[in-house]
Amino acid sequence: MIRPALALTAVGIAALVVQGALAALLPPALVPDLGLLVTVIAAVEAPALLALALAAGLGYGTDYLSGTLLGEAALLRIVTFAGTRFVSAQFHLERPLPLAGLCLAVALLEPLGTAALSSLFAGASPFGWDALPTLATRAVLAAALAPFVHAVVSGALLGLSEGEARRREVRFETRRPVL
Amino acid sequence: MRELLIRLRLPLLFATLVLLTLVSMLADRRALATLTRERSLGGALLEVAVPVQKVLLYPVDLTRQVWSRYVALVGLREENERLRDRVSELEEANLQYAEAIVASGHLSEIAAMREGFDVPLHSAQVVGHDVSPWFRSVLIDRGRSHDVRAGMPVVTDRGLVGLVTATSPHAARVMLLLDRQSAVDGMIQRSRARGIVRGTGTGELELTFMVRGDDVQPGDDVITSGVGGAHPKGIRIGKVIDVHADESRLLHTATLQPAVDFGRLEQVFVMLHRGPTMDLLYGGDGDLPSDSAAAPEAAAKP
Repeated sequence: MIRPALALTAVGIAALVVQGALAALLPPALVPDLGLLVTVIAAVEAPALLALALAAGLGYGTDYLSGTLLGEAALLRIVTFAGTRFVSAQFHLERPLPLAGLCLAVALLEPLGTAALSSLFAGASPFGWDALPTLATRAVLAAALAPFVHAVVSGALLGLSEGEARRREVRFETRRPVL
Repeated sequence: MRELLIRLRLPLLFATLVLLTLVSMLADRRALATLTRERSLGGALLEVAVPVQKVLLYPVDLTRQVWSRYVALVGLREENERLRDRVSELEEANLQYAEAIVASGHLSEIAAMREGFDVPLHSAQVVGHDVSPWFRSVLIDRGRSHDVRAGMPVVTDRGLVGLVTATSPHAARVMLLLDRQSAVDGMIQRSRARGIVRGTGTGELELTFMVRGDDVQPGDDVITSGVGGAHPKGIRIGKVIDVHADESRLLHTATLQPAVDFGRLEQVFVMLHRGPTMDLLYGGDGDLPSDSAAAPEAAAKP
């Protein structure tokens, strides 16, 4: 359990750092939300407790590296985790296409949550209707990058915990409990 | 009981984390409103982020340097000639202005005003950008140990950049003017018409709450009015590029092009003072740098 936790933590930190570096280089529309992708893919691939802890950690990390209220992104990431677990209990999301579809949907919905929470707690949404092209571009980017991030996350999980990996390979159940 | 706890550990952790995020959001909103955003853990993370971001941005900076020093010099000769002409024009204009000022006897007043703006500035390097595209803020490599405090304005030689919103010992987060939660009391330099400059979340600003009939035209420069208390008077904010004058409305708005190129923000200057209004509002908690204790009064002079 410790090795997968370390692997996920390393991937999560790397995601935030790379995202921060890309934000300095590229326009906002072209900066992929790697933290969100790692949250979604960890919710599909990793043990639930670890994925939930990672979601909260990544959310708070985003809050610290961003102008959001402390806890805003964290709450959204936790809700994203729960939503992904729910969907992954109904569908097989390990394949690239369904996973990309889920990431597209989450990347579209998550900013709406940001707008709602900011309006509720800070009094104003951080973006208006004119941000729709940015939102759409980022969602498509998230969908396109989902298989690659999936490969990185599962690679890190499998590479650092062979025993865990073996257990997962012989798993027969197709449905998992959501929470 | 133990088995029940083990079975319910995930829902329990989920509920605990949701509660924690809600509590931290409420606490942070209160801290933000009272400028007491002391984030110990956040400060530690900001501290960690600075060196890492610096290392990661090194190849980026190197590429930019190579581009600007070698690749982008193709039209250097033409540009050089054009700039020489421009310098000649500006020198001529400067001479005329100086003559006009001396002639009208306002030179001493101008000198006093410059002294009034003599707020200590601390240079800082932008080392990180907001990881969220919906919020506009940057991370700088100066913090509390450099006397940087929340509520201090940040500028460049081109104009106003934003306001410090959170600090750690060696880093600070600056909310840019572009952020939709940013609001600055500004005025048209030419006609002295006042309004509130707000971020739009895009690359432009909006001058709102201007009274109908105010003299505002495209091309007008907008500066800080000093009325809000957060910024000294006279810092350049931007230029009017469009006026939305609906005669049926009492208040007008205008779109501004920021004076600062936020896409190329590298070096900034933190003004080491908090406005007098802010100090009155937030209690003057004594965290001002000792060498700039008189700065708020000086900054308020103009």
